[in-house]
Amino acid sequence: MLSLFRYLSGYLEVMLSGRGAERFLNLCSRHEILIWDLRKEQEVCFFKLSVRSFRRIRPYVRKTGITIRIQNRYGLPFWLYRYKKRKLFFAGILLAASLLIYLSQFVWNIEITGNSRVTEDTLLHFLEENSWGYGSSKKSLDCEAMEAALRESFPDIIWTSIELSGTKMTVAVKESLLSRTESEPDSGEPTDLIAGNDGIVTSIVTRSGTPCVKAGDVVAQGDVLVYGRIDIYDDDGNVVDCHYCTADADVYLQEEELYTDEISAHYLQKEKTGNRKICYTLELFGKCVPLFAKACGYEQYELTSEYRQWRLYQNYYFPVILRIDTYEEYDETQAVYTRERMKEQAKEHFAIYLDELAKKNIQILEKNVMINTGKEGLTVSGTLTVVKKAGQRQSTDRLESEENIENSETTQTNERLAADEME
Amino acid sequence: MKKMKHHPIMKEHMVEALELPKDLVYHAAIVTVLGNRELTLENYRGMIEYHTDHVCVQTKNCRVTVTGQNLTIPYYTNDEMKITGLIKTIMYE
Repeated sequence: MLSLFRYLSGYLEVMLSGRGAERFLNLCSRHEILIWDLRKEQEVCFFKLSVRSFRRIRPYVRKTGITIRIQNRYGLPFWLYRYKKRKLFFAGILLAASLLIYLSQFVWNIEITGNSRVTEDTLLHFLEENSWGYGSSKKSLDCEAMEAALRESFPDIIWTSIELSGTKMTVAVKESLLSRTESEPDSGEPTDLIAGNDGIVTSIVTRSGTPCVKAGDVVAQGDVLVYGRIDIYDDDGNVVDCHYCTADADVYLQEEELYTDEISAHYLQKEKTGNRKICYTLELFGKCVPLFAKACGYEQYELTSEYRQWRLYQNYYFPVILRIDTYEEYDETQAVYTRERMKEQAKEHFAIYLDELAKKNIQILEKNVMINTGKEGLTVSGTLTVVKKAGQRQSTDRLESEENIENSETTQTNERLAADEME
Repeated sequence: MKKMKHHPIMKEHMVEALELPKDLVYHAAIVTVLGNRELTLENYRGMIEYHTDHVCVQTKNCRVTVTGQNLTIPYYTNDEMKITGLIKTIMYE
């Protein structure tokens, strides 16, 4: 920092000769003239001091009878003086600086974090559609409105934060663990909870609604587990009124799940020939300019692209991107897996499947999976006994239930009338 | 009138008791040495001699002479100076 300040204000390297060098140095320090990098070569001293200090040392030079000579001039004032005739050069610097200032008013880099189900491309496309994407003016961006729009358009996103720093926009999102359809419905419409598959109820905890099953019951697909209607009975046990609500309960069903997988013994093996070509492309303001253009000329190749965006400092990105495309040639040959390799692959697939079940909070009670080996490959099939949450919904049938109540009420009144007549 | 002289032991006791800064009371030079490459000197009056093989500095009570090789002074102000180079001896005269 100090050296930068010295550079900006300009400083000199001075040669000092004569007998009163020490006296001169003492006088300088007494009068608070800062001297640095003092060294002696034979009988001559060299030191550095600022331009302002140099103007103050004249009386002390005369007093001590030494001679001084400027050896070198450093710093911005001298540099500017040296190049003062190069007007176009300074105009270029000014133009570059103004261009940088102008370009820094736009977004040139977007980073999206925290997304897994909603892809980065989807989010970028959404931003682009709303003219909030790459190259949009920073002034026109309203982060809070963008955050609200993101949450509204993507039900899976429950939290968003958009931050502008330099020319970089960071979109941080958090997704809900359950998708919105699985979680509570938004509308106030009364709904029932129904069984998605055949199974046995292992546990039921009802928060709202009327439970129709109990633990241990066998249910078929489509059976109502919890009604979205709560009947109100009188002292005689007759329904006098009913309330509608959204059925809410944790109902766990023990189900049989089918698992099948096929692994073909034949596959195409890619073998790299070792030939590779690297192409450079410059992307300026979203437009591609190929550098040293040459066709790759390979029939089958793997393409790896690396993007390097120019930035001035940390988050100050600019719309100059160097794309490095690496083409690697390969030959395709038919190959056959060994039986062990196929088994390994089948096991890997099964492990991934189990992982996915675990992520969905599905409990596995029993695994009964067989591997059948054939000539063409390997077939895996079997069943899994799992316990999972029943979460399907259907709207509660209002009309029928109201008719029922009316019917029940009319039967009650008929009964009363009959009783009166008897009396 | 006879001037009262401070007894050195009594002064020491007073400094200890009052926890006064010793460098101010004794007008002592503060010499900070980092290995044999760097030396920082404070509380001095002025430089008496400067050569590549020795630097002689006057403090209030004594002279400090630093001898060595290729001695340079990165900064020299009224309060503090720094000597770098290959330091061999530091003498109080």
